[in-house]
Amino acid sequence: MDILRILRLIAGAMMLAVPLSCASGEAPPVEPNGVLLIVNASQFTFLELRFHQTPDYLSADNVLEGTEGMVPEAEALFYGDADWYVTYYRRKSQLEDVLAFTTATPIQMKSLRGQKLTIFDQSFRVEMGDYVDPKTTDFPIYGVPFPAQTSTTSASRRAQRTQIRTLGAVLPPS
Amino acid sequence: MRPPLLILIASLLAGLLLATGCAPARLVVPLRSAGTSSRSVDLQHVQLELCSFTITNRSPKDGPEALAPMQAAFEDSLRQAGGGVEPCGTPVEAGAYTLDRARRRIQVRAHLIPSEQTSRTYFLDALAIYPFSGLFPLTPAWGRTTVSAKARLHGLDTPVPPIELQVSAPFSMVFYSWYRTAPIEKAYRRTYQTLFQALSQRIARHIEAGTGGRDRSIDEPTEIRLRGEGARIVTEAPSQAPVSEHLLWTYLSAAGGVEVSKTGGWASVRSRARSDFGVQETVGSGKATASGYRIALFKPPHRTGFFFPPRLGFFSQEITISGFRQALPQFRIPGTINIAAVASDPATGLAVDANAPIAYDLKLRSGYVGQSAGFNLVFGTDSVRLFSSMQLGLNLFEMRHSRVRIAQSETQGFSTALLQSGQFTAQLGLEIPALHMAIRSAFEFEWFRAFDYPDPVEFQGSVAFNPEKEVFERQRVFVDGASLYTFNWQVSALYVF
Repeated sequence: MDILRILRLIAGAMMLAVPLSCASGEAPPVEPNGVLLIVNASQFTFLELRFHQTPDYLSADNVLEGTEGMVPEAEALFYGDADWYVTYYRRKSQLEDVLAFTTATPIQMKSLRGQKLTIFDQSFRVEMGDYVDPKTTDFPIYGVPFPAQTSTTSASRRAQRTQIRTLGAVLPPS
Repeated sequence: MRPPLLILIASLLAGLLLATGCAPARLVVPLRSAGTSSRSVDLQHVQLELCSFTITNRSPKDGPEALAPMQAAFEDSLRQAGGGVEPCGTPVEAGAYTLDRARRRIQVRAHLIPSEQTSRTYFLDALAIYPFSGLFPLTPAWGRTTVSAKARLHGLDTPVPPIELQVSAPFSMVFYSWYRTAPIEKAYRRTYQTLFQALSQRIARHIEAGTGGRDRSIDEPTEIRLRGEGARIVTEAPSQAPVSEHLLWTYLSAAGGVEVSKTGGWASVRSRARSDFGVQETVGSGKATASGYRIALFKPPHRTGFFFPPRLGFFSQEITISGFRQALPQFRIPGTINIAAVASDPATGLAVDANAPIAYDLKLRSGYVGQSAGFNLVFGTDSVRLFSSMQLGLNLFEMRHSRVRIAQSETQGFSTALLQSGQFTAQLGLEIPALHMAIRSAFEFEWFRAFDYPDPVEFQGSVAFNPEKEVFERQRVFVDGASLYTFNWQVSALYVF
C-alpha cells in the first residue's frame, strides 16, 4: 500500500511537472506557405501582375514595381496558401490597348509545396517544383512566405523582404 | 529531258525560223484592168518604144523569169493609156520620127524599186516564240508595200525631167503573220496595178504635151497612198468628213466623245514577313471594294500603233490591313496542368476576344512621275471597227506618304521610291462611226511594291510549335511595309463626236 501511495505521489508530481516544463520551453514551429515560381515565357512584357483569391482582379493590387514591368524570361516568386488566381496585363500588340489575362481556374497552393507557373501568350502551365526558401533566392518575392504575415504588395515589398529575413532566423531548417 | 528545256529548245528553233522568216515576192503581176481604163489621150501619132524596164531590190523569191510578165503588164497599161508599144529601136534624138515620118518616135525607160515596211506588236511575237514555240496565233503585222518608179522619156520636142511616182498600199495580218506572205503580195498586186496605170497615163500625157499636142498642166502628185480595203488592221486615220465646221464641234471632236460608265474595282494590300522559324508568309492583308458610275470624255483609238505617254499623277487609297485569326492548340505535357487564360478589358473587366486579328487603318498616298508605253490595235472596216489597247506604265519616281492608325495610336511619314510601282491598262471596244456610237470595256491594274510604313508594325505569324518552350504560339513579327495593288474595271457606252 505504501508503495502504491508513493507511486501515486510520484505520478502526481510528474503530472504537475509536465505543464511547468512545457511553459518554460519554445513555441511549436510554423510551416511556411507554398511557393509559386512564376516564369514569363510569353513574348510580351507584363505591365501589371496581380494575385487574387476571387475571379475579380480589379480590386487586387499590382505587385510589379516601377515602369519596366516584367520582361520576357523574367522570373519571380509568389508565396501563399489556399487558392490563387493570377492576372497579368499586357498590350494585345505593340500599339494596341492593354488587356488582362487571368487564369481560368485558381492555383492551389499548400504549405511547403513548390510549383512552377509558366505564363505563355494566352495560357498558363502549372507543374510541380521544389520549394524555394525565400532567404536563398534573388528573385523578386511577392505574397506571404509565412501565415503570420500580411500580403506583400509592390509598395511594401522592400519592407517585406526585411521582415522575411528577420523571420528566417526562426524558420526550421529547410 | 525536262519539259521546260524542250520548250526552250523549241522556242529557240522557232525564233531562228521566224527571224529568217518567209520572204514575200516583190514582183507580183497585177490583174489586167479589162479595158476599164479610160484612154485620156490619143497617141496614134506616136510610136512608143519601151526600151528598158528594170526592177531592183527584188526578193529571193523573185526568179529571173518573174520580170517578163511584169513588163508585159506594164506594156498593157501603156497600151490602155495611149496606144501601141513597139520594140525598142535605135536611139532617138529630140523630135525623131519613124522612117516613114508617119509617127513620132518616143522611147521609154522605166525603173522600179519595190519595198515593204512591216510593223509588229513585238511583245506578242515574243510571246509566240516563248513559251509557245511559234504556235501562238495572235501575231498581228501590218505595213505598206511601196513601189517607186522613175520613167525617162526620149524623143520629145524638149527634154523633160524623169517622171517619178511612188505608190503604196497597206496590208495587214492578224494571225500567224510570220508564216504568211499572201497579204503582202496582194498589196504589191494593188500597188503595181495602180502604179502601172498612173504611170502609163502620166507618160501618155507627157508625150502628148511634148509632141506638140494640147498644152496640159502636168502638175501631178508624185505619191499615191492607197487606203485599206475590207476587214483589216486599220493603220490610217478615218477619212470621213467632219459633221460640222463649227468651232465648238471641232473642239468636241478633238476630245473624242463622251462616255457613260459603270465602274467597279477593289484594292488589295498585303504584308509579308519571315518568322524566326524560317517561314515566309503573309501576315497581314486587306481588301477594299468600290463601285459607281462615271461620265467622262474619251477618244477611241482610230488606228493601230504604239504610243508613249508620260505618267504624272496622284494616288490615294484608304484601306484596312489585318492579320488573320488562328486558334492556339494546347500542347499537353504529362505531369503538368494547362490553364486557359481569360482575356478581359482591365478598364471594365468585361471579356474581350484576344484572338481578334490585329488590324490597322492605312492611308497610302503617292505622287508619281513615270513613263508609259502603249499599243492600239484597231481592226475592222470603214463601217465597224474593233479596237483594243494595252498600256504599261512605270513610275520612275514617287513621293509617298503613309499613315498607320490602330486603336488610339497613329503614325505617319514621307518616303521616296524609285521604280517601285507601275500600271497596266487594257480595253476592248467596238465603234460604229456612221452611228457615232461605241461601247467598250476596260480594266486597270496598278501595283505598288513595298509601300513603307512610318515605323515597323506588328502582326502575328502562323501558329508554330516552339520546341524550346514546348508550346504552340504565334510569333510576333514586325514588318516594314506592304504591297498594294488596285484593280478597276468599267463598261462604257460612248457617243463619239
